[in-house]
Amino acid sequence: MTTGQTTGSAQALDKARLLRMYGQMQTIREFEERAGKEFAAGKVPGFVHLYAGEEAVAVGVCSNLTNDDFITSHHRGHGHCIAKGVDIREMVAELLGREAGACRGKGGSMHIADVHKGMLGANGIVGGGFPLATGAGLTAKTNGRGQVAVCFFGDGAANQGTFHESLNLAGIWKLPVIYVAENNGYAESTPVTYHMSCRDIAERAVGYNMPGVTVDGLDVLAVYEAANEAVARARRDGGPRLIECKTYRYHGHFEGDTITYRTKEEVDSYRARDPIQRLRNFILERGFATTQELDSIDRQVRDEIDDAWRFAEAAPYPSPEEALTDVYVSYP
Amino acid sequence: MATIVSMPKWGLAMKTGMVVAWLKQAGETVQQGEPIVEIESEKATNEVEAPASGIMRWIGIQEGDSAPVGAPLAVIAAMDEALTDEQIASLLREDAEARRQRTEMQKKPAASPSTARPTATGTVRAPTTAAGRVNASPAARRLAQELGVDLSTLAGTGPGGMIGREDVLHAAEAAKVAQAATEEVEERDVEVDGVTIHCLIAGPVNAPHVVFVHGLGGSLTTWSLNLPAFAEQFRICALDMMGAGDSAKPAADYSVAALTTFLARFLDTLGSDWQRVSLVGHSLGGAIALSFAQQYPRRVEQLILVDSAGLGPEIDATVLDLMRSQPTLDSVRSELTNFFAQPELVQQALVEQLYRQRAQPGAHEALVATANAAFGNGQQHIDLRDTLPGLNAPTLFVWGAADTIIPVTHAQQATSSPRSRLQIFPNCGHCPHIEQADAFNQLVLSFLRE
Amino acid sequence: MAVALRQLTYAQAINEALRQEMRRDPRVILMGEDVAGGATVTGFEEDDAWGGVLGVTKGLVQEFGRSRVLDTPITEAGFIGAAVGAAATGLRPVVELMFVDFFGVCWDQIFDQGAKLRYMFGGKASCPLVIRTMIGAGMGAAGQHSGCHYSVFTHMPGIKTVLPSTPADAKGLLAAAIRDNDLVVVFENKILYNTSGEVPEGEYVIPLGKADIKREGNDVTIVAISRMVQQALAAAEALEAAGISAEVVDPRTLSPLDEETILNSVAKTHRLIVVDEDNPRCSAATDIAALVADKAFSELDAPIKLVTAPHTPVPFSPPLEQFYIPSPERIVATVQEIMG
Repeated sequence: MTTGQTTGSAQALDKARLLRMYGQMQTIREFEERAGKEFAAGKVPGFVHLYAGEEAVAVGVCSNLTNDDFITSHHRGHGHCIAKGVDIREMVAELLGREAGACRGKGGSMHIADVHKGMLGANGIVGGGFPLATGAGLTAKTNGRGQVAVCFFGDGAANQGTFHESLNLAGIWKLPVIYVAENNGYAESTPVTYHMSCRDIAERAVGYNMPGVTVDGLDVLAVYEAANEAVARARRDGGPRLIECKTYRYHGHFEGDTITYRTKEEVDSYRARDPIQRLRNFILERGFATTQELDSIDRQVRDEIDDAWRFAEAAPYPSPEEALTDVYVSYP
Repeated sequence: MATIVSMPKWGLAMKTGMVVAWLKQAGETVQQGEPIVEIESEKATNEVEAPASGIMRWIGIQEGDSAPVGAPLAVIAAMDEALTDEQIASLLREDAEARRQRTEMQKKPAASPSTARPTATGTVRAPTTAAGRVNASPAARRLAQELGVDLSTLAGTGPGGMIGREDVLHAAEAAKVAQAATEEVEERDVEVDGVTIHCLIAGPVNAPHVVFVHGLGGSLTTWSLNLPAFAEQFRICALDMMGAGDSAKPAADYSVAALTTFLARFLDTLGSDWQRVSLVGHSLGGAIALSFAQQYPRRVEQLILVDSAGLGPEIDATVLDLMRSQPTLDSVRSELTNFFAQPELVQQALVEQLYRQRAQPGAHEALVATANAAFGNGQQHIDLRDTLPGLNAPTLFVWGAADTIIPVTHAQQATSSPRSRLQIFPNCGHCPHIEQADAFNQLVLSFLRE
Repeated sequence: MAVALRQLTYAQAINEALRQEMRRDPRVILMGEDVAGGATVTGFEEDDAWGGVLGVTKGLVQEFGRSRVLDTPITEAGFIGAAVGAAATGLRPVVELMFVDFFGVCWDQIFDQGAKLRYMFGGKASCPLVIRTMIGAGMGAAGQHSGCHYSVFTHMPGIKTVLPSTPADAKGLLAAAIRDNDLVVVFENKILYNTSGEVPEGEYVIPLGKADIKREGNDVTIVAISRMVQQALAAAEALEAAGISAEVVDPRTLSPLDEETILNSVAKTHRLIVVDEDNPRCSAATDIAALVADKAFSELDAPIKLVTAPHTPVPFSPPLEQFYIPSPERIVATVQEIMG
């Protein structure tokens, strides 16, 4: 069991993977910024919770996963969806409540899912994902072909009963579940220094007989490496692990949050350590790609986002009677 | 076999009568026809005669007390009958029950008759939902029970045709109105071209209209035993023809033709709802009714001709002579005896009533003028037989087999008219509507309801 | 002298009730996720970053401090349960379950602990706890933030359930709930927060178990719950133009239920519609329908009709969500159906 900080290293990384990660992080960033803009313009019903700033965690972890692996997410789930390969057009259509949406318009931002790709859904209940991921871990263990389940959760969720019960269960049954904490320092408007009785979430892993590490969640390569090790071990010996990523969200808890509880200085200090910029710098410094190539990816991403919004805005709404379908599999 | 003596209904408007004096006491023997009690009604005081011979066994209403029409006044036991108190009580209970049921039947709103359909097993079901129950709301059921409304006669205006409270309330109101209408007898004096006509109008306003026309020497009172029954279901009018009863008796044309026209004018005056009526005419009144039907065929629904004039040449001269003589109680009594096969029907009350009418100023003159216009000595001047084949209105001929005034052979004329029926009452004189009132009422009512 | 009529929003009325009750009784404390917000953040020692996710509890920490306005971590079972424990031992907490849909996380603490402890302890204990929670669809908050579910709470013996539909009712009912010595759950419809109405100044309570006739009428009784009162009133306006006079009855509390007002109304109108935003199976609507079918059977001139959400979760997409919520049009159509 190790607890401690790791620094990013580029072992086992190649250009393709790096560019893929870069592209994914940019996709998440562009997606979120665009969503925020459209929400402010009144185009998006309900609540949205933006992931901008935390891209390194989703991408760093999911780059180690396949469609055969499971993830659970939470209310701030767009990043996980994109990192796990959910179709962007379907995501935007879902935000807008269209029939072409990933959930046919019935779930909205907080409930986007793509079970065929192992994405077991964003979740509106804080702590709702732990038992689901743990159950997926049970399936994985039963199937015996090396699948893993990843549970993304926030610092706020680390105090929920389901955190403790699920980690305990995974511990006693030795389930291949990797619990990834996205500690962005705040549960809604309440700082982690108030709401959590220990300093790092990773400290709690020992109580559940599993390894726990803390990593720099702004460094996608550090996240990647920690996740890589955890996933490899989980596939091999089937046991659970906890990875805590210290990260930061640029936006409020939800769009509409006045965010009075953080100072501008604090936000700026994190912006200065922007994870995408950091990866970009790394790629350029190590010569994995040129500026033009990265800019080209940027443009491509923007085009994809634009295309997705055009698609979604033209997509029809479901007919009202669709409200009555999909409750059960079978009806008498 | 014990007999109950009940408070009589003298005329349409009588509701209660007061016992003035008992002429026979309990334990005394009585003969059929003997007066046993004096009753005062709103209009007159009269004697009630024993309907059977026997012993006065029980007296129900004391002197000075009143009772409603139909209430038991006394019980007469047969000569050799030993009647216990329990038997009397039971007899009275049965009578009360019978009367109550009659009243219930009369209260029913005149709705369309239910079509009872026999099931495969032969039992008959009332009109209902497919499940076999009347489709009525709980509130409607409770209200129907409280108000005595039969749900199976109602159509519902609630959702899915359900009978609701409003439907029940309306039915109860209509029944009340119908009943009120039956009980409200209007006695009117109607001005017809300057001639005051006295008439009685009663019955539910929306029901079919029936007009009663009396015969020579009579008045609307001739229909006293009939009008109550008809007024339950029909809008009736019985008039004292010009020159008769309490109507005016001007010097005028009293021929059948003139009286026919006058009848039309009378109905015009009553109002547009009397534009098409059924007519019941007795004796000379029958001739007037038949003449009216020929002259105004669109104004006649159905025709009932009772021992009618105008259907043959014969008429009894004796009665005419009696009518033409100056009226006395004896002459009136003699006259009346000719009218009935059963002489005991000529009750003192009837004699006095008729005498009072004939004694009115102008009454005798008008009577003579009417008689002379229609009849000679033993001969009818009026002959309406050739109007019969062209009669559109369904016609019922009623005749007493023992009619000594106009022979029953005239009734055979009935066969000439295409839509007619004939009913001859055996052992009955010139006035089957009086002599066999109940049977007459049933017959004519069912004819009118067709 | 004209008396100025004071208008408050539903949210402000709730805030005022909390303030007045906290002044009145020092045992009353607030608990919940971000009921103040910004705990331990510099500058927010006695200031709130949020004052509740929709600002309903704003301004209270300034007056009462963070020892009486307690931000909790996101641990419903933990802090709702703690509120039960505090109530059972002498405090009078008003704890917020942010969205009623979260009750699954803490249901044991509510129904199996808080609701039952008085009974199981032979009447020798009590739980004078108020749980405030948000209900209602119409904001696009989707399946886990839009439910009603008060039927589940009403079903439990030991829980009292309160559903204000106007600002004035909200203030008086919340005050009554706080002074009540039982476990009371106050369901605040989030769509009503910004609606305004006349609210009397000063302290007042509206007794629990007392319905309010929001509109008198003669032809049909419409019992409507929470925000459905507004829908029913709109329907009643439309019905009046069509010559139908509807009486709108607001139960205000479902447990205890004011049976008398409902039964008297049906005895007057002879027809009943119940409008309920909750799902239809085993609901408050079916409960009220059964009551009337039992105790006012022979007053009924038409079948009882229930206008409810469908038997589905709350859909996200706006046209689906609008389909889900009982509308004035549906209420009008249902009334016309039973008028025959």
